[in-house]
Amino acid sequence: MSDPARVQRALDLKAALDAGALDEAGRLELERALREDPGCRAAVADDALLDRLLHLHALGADGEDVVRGVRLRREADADGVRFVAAVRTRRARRRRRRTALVVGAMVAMAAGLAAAIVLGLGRGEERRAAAILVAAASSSIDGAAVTAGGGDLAIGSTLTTAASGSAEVRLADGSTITVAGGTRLRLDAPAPGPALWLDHGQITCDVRPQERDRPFVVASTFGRATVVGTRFDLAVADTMVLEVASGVVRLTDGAGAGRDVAAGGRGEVGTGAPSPQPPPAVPLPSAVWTPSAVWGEAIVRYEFRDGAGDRVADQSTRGAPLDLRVTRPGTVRWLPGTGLALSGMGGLASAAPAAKVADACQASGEIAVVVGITPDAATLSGTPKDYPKRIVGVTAGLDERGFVLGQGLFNDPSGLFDLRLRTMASTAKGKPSVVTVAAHAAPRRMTVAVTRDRTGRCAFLVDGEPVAVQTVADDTDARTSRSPPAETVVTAGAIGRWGAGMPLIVGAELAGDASGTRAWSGVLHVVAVFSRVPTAAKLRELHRDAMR
Amino acid sequence: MDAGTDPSDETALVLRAQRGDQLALDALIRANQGKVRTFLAMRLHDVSLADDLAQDAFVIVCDRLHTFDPALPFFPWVRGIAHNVLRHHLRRRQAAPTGPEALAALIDGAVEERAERLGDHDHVELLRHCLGRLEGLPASTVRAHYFDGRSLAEVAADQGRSAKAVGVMLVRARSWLRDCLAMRLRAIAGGTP
Repeated sequence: MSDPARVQRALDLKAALDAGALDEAGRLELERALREDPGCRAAVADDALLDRLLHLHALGADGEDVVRGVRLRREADADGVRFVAAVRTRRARRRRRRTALVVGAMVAMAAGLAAAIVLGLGRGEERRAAAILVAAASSSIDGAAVTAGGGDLAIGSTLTTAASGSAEVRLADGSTITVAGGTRLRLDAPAPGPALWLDHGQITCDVRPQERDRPFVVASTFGRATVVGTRFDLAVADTMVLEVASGVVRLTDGAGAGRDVAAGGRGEVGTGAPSPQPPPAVPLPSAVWTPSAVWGEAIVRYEFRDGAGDRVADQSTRGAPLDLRVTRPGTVRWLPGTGLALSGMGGLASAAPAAKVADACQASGEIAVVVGITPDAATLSGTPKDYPKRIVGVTAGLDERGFVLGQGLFNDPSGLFDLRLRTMASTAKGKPSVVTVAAHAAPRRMTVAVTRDRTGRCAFLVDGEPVAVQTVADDTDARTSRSPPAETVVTAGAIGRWGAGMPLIVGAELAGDASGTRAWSGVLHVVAVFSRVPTAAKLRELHRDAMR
Repeated sequence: MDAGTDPSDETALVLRAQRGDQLALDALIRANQGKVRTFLAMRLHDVSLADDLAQDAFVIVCDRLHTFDPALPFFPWVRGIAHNVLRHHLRRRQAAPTGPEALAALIDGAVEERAERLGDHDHVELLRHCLGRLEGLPASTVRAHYFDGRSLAEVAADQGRSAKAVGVMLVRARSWLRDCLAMRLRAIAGGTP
């Protein structure tokens, strides 16, 4: 029988351990009690068990998260096998039962002379961007009639089919898109997988298995469909309707709410008010800038639209302004009404320590970073040591930081976004990283937001939409150290242990090494750091605001 | 098996899932995920990994479902797979513990023993009821630490106490919750502790 006083003493030591107040003598005493006294061992174990159950309860995941995660993983794994017969199967099925959908004012699909367009969408050596038109009629590309002899369909081109026409687009990986009559479809830059903008009309897609981090995306005014190898029909008229023949497609509306549509299922978005504008293919200059009031919650905020000279003012109203100055004047260029272009080794840094950022985030236990940027091709080139390229951070050089939002990893220069945040459980460099699963290699204007709340839950949003994330413990060994993709991940430890005196840096480290300053290259439009995670609605508002 | 789960329903779901019925498969996962997540979380130092490992386990369950005998109870089979996933995970991070890690390993070992005695239930679901009955300062301390993500030092500053005193308060709150949970488990088992 255990002595109740000894059990109580063991629990008191456990409480001290939890509070980080257990000294070496206490540790040895608790170890001895656990080894020698079954009663102490049981009491401490029960306490630890309840601690874990409470943490699990607080994580807040429910059964549907597990069901959805398992489904998506299995679909992604299985589609490669299924596709081998998919084209033939689909054509046979089409003869038996046409499953295309017709909704609202959608123009009915009309038989017509098909145009087969072979194009490559992607990046790297294996997928050169190329488009070859092998047959055409009743279709036009960027307003020019397609000839029967064929032609090119380049990234950024818009394919339009006449009401009596149709077309077939064949991607280099074998995926096919059947374009119905009366359809207008734009081929956007890979982001990073094939990306289509469906202005109106109907397309039917047979999608080959995509790499998990390079999903096939079809977007419209009303929302987007994201798929990793499946077969589905999509129509846009007064709404966007998705009908899935096989696999699972994630359908997301303009407000960012998403759901999975499984084989045999049908989804519709845009039944409410549509999003006001499609995402622009190229940056749009802003004539009048009226910032959203949400920016006022930022602890630091920098607008780059109408700047000049070598200083950028902190427009936050919280604490003393933390102004930035250009570190290498020859490497930046102001683009009036648009932003600040960075190239070479240049960046910006605060002259004063970023104490107000460090203090606010460590006190609240939260952080959110929102940036409006246009990365350029140079950001996606370099040696492994050039990554991650710095967008914004609070750092003391390459080896110690409070946080840094970067792009690319040591072994993955694909354009994914990367958050390294110093916590009580992280390394001094802020590892493990939280990264976007998909790369964002398109040289287009975009908004990137990353958040971490007090429970350690991290999320990335690109253009106001949540994107899949995972942790990377060691970016030199990505094959084995990545967690499964998920909408959010939880990292350990409270935000803390940020060294004193670290400046805020934008675009590059203030001090680099022989391999450089990890300089990011592109155009900065807006950069803001928050010490409280804005709500999803506010993040979407910031995105809309940043894209104006 | 939890009260309210009809074995014949489960067998029917397994048979449908084995024939490729995705909805039946989803239902099986939904019905068992709570117990699997709890099983894993109770044996993991980093509870946040429980969901990832549960997903790993269910992917294997789906892939091997055709090998399962529907005449047998389903959860023990799933639990075995989850246990293997857990063992694989722990092997990868295995290291000879010293200092504070030795103490953590000792506690982990003790927790493993006790978790076995608690049996297979969705303890988080049971805990939800007990949390609703926790009152006063213990309740607000539990809420601040676990659900608002406040560190013990932050809670201590809010309450004007030492972090150690907050730690003791949490130990007492967890002790009360453990007793409440034990009562719920006894009720489920029909009075058998």
